Amino acid sequence: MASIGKGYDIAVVGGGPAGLASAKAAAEAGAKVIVFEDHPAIGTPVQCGELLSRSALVELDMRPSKRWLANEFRKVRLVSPGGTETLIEMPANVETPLFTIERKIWEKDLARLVSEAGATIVTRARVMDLIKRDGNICGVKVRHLKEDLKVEAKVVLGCDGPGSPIGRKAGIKIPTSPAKYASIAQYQLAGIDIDQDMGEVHFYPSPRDICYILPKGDGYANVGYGTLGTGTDKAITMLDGFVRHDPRLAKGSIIETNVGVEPISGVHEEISADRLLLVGDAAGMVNPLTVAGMRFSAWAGVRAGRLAVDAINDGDASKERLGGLRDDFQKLFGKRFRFMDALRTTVFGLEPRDLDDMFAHLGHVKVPARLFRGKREPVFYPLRMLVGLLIKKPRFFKKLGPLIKARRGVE
Amino acid sequence: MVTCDQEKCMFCGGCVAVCAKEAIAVYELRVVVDPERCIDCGNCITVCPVGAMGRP
Repeated sequence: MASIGKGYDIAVVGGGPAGLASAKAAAEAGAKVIVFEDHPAIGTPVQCGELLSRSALVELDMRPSKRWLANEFRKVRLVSPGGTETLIEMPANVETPLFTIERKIWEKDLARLVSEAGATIVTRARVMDLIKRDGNICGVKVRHLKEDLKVEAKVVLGCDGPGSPIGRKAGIKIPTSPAKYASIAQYQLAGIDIDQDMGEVHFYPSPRDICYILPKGDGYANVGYGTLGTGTDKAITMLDGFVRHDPRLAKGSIIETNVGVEPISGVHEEISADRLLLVGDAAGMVNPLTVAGMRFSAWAGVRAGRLAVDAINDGDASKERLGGLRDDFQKLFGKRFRFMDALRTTVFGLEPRDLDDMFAHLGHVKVPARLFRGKREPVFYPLRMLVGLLIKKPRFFKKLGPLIKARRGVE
Repeated sequence: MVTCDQEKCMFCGGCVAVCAKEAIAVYELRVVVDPERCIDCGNCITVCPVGAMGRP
């Protein structure tokens, strides 16, 4: 076991996906890197639905492993408050983009790669503050097993999750309005009777209340509820209501409870200070509709690690230089995030009968295999099919018209 | 000032994320609210997924 030394190139605050991805990339680029994780274990507590995108694995140069790949599925069922449903089915002959993982094991596997790359990971290490000399950030103060340590670093990467306490200590403005965050509660349910080849999204009891079922294989699944902080009731109360209402779920046992709050206003206006850069949930890099974060953390972590090393080598770790990560992120995901945000706002504004009509119109959607080739993503396909609905039911022109138009810019 | 019901709390840190005054800290199994800083804005009460934050 490596002891905590004093001087590092890069100190990473937080050992989640963003922190581990950053550390891996930076260590591979030759930097001396240390990761501080407050919790006693990497991978716990689970604060996500454990749905991972293949692109995250590509970014991290990881291969799917039997140790943590839980379940692949090809169908997604959407159910309206009134019980009308649509089924979206991926073709059988392509790699499905939908799979769940055992996050606790996956993250430990990633930590192993980080360690093999030469970085040091320390658990039970809480970063208390930044060290500043003449106003310049030059390291972090860490409490590790009741001991207070000062660890010097040329660049600090803040991967400390939603709200980023470390970013705020550096003077970065982080949104705090509850309207910019989703509250989520999730159970792992065991002994339930669901189709393991199908994920489900239920708008229950209203179009603003999003309940999901992510199958993990062998009769268990992550079942969760999420909405804006200003939702109908507490996330856990809404989740209890959903589980009770669905007899397939009600017969199961709760074997784990996970809760959390995630930013849904897109990447924050500012994500850097001199010698400090925020990555992942800390920087708001979360899909504003699906609240998916791991693939963005993986993408941004790899770039942040390399950027920090380049910045150190060039002797310029200024706010502007490190903030280049935000520009790159926006170039790649900005339009999509804005669209997802618009989609959420639109869905939240719909009447329950609107969803009934939409889902009845869609029916059984088979996504064609050709959409899986190249860089286009098949998620927009069902939306394109809604164009026909505008003609059938003109009231949707006002409700969906702008959205379907906006899709063209993203697809 | 808001307080945290430690029996309901799952220690997710959501209250810390939305606290406008950096008045809340979550230690592993303990949530601490700084009464000097808390302005009683209620952000933490709104977002808490389990209803642990509240006014006494």
